[in-house]
Amino acid sequence: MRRQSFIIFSLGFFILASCAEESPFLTGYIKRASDAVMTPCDPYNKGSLHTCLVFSSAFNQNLIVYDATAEELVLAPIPFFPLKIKVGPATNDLVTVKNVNEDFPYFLALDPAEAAIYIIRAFPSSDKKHRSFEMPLRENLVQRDKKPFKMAAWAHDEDVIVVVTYPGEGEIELVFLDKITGKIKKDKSQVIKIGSKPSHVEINKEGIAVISDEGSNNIHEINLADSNNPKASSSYDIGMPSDKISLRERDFGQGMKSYVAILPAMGTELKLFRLSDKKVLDTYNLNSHPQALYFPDQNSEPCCDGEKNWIALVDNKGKLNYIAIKPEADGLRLKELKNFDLTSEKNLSLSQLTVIKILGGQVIFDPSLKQEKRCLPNNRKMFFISSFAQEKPYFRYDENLLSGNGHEVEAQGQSCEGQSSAFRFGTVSAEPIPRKNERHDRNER
Amino acid sequence: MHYPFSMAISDNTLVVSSQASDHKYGFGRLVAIDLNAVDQALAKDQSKAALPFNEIVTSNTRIARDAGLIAIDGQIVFGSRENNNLYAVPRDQNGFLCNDSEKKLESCPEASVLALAASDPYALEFISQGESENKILVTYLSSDRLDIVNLDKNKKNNALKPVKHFFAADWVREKLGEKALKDKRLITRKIFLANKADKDKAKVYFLFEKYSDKSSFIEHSKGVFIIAVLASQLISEKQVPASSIELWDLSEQYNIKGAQDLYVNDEGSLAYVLARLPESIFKIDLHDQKRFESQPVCLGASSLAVTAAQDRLFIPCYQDNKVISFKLPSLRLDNATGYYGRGPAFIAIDDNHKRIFVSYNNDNKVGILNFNLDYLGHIFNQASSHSTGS
Repeated sequence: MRRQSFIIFSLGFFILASCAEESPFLTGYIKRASDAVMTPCDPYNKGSLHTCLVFSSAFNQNLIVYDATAEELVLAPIPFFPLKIKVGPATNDLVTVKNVNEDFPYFLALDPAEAAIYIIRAFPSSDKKHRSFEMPLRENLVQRDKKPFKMAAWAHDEDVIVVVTYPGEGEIELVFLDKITGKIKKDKSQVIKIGSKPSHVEINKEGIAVISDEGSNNIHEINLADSNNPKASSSYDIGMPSDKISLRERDFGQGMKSYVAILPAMGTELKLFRLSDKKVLDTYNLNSHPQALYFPDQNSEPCCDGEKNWIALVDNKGKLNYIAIKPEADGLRLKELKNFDLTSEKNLSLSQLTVIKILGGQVIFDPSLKQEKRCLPNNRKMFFISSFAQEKPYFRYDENLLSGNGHEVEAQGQSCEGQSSAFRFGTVSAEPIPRKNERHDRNER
Repeated sequence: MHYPFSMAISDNTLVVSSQASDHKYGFGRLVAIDLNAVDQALAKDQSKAALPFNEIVTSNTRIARDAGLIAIDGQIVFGSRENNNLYAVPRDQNGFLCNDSEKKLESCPEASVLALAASDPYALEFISQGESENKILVTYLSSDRLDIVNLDKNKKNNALKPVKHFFAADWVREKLGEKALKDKRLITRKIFLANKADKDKAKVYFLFEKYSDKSSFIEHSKGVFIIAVLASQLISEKQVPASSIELWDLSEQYNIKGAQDLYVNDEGSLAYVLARLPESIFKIDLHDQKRFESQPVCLGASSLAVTAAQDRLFIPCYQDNKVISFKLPSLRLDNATGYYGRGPAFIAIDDNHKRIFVSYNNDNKVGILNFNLDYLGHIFNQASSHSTGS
């Protein structure tokens, strides 16, 4: 009896001791994401360079940060809770600044209710007066009585130029922020009438802004690098009102060019548009409703048995579709490759899933964490940002009985780029990877 | 007033009913409020405190507990889930007759009461207004039965009389076949009358939820239908022909498994559906089912309300304790409140004064906000933070 007690006690001790090496993922804090952004960061002001995913939930008035390099939430000074960055009552559009170095100090968040931009630090200042993820700077937009919708930002000389769309007014605003401090330069702000209902906007490194339009069949292009005068815009007919877009520089065998992948305002087509030709190269009809789109950069991993050039779409039923981009004599063609069910039991195991965004790219690897790279060779991942998820019921022996659909859960998902399997944040299908315990350092925030 | 719940506005009168599910209260309340008096009271006192009861409340009576939604025209009509009765009380220029805060509506000679044939009457609507009679459509939260009830305007009491009924499950089976509802039942979550002013074009849109036949209140809904029928056909036809029924299966097209509320524009082209599973607001093109979009909403989104100009949509969130608004028809998030009160359940819109009234069910008050969701004040005394209701 004594020996049995000793064995049980020892086993218990060893189990607890090994659990102490890993802290559990703090679930439930990023349940209903309304947006997310992937940004380099130094989460604990230690001079490290990580990749962070910052989540907004429009009605929580806080941003939550997931350290994708360390695979855990960034903690608050009290380490039992995640860090919450206080923002406005409806803050929901997050963007990074294009055309900057990896350690550019801040990213931006837009609050349409307040008509304000929040400038949030992802790195401490060199004089240590400012810390990562401290209380953001809030700058009111000049047009306080109008409701901004989306934005994109680009650094140029001493400024960060933020393009803000106002679909209700049929205009965009160019907002100038100080590149170092993020403070708004109100006297430089410019309003430009454009299209019918300018909606989403993306900007490339060269300062070309592409704007979708949910009120007309056009998309619009504007060159921010021209001068400080009001910018002339060009409009191109794409045959449908548009919504989410993704702008990329890609070489599909015809040299490096700018391409725009475009989702419809309310329909089911995906269009691929080339800026240099100003024409739609192909249209792909998804037989369901696309909710989110991922157009990877030139360094993407292949998907689907070695296909190098692809776009990923998630529909309203949680199905992930890979679409190949194939060069043909007269251009490019979009062709169905593969699809798989993100809600299946071997993936996120859900009865319902609404994905609103897919983020992806290389996640910075920090060798000091003594972790192994999950995604070889370059640690490139995809993140599925969900605004709603419901788990599968526990008891399924009769679908008519209790626990019909399961409870709402947090189900932010990730996978290696181009792969056909995904798992939720905080769950790991592989063996736990041992890493250095940094818990005692976190209170330095 | 405890647990303010459903509200309706007509002309310059706001009518509020309470839903006293708490059994310590043996009754509910029905109260009429003069909106012009509210306007004057707000102009006089901008401290955001409770408006003076006696200056704004014009009529007040006790009613049965668990009142459903209110419909208002020349009469105020509502059902009670406590006793499955339908009530009608005539209005007057001060609010409504039967103005006695200590007496129950049943004892009022001017009120009419009708015992309904099914349980849990909830959503109802005036679907025709004639010179001598009105027709009311009554629906139930626990079945697919739809009752048409006559309201005789010339009678002071006993004015309510059942005329006919339908079963929505029959319509679904006619459109989709027997398999569509095998081992399943329907309940009516909400109804909406579009094009009210046009007798020939007025159309009733029903929001039905599908549940397992082995009913359990704990289970989740398994599917959602919208069905549209011309109001005139509901009134004149014994059986509505299948060709006259329009049906949209929201679970099939949009993966919507549960829904709370809906609004349809007058053209019948766009429907705004407040889904519960997933908890989102959907904008659906009723003429082209491939076209839709959705936006996430706050926790516990309980109902929706749309301005007369059809340019703003308001949603109270019972769990998040806030109210959010969207611009229409774009469905872009417009505003979100901070914490103004506990358990916002329903919203009534005063288009004349550009205000909304929010029933803060757990806080015992009706909040008054402007269209930008700024808090202006409230009606009734707020419950203490240590209690719910009063």
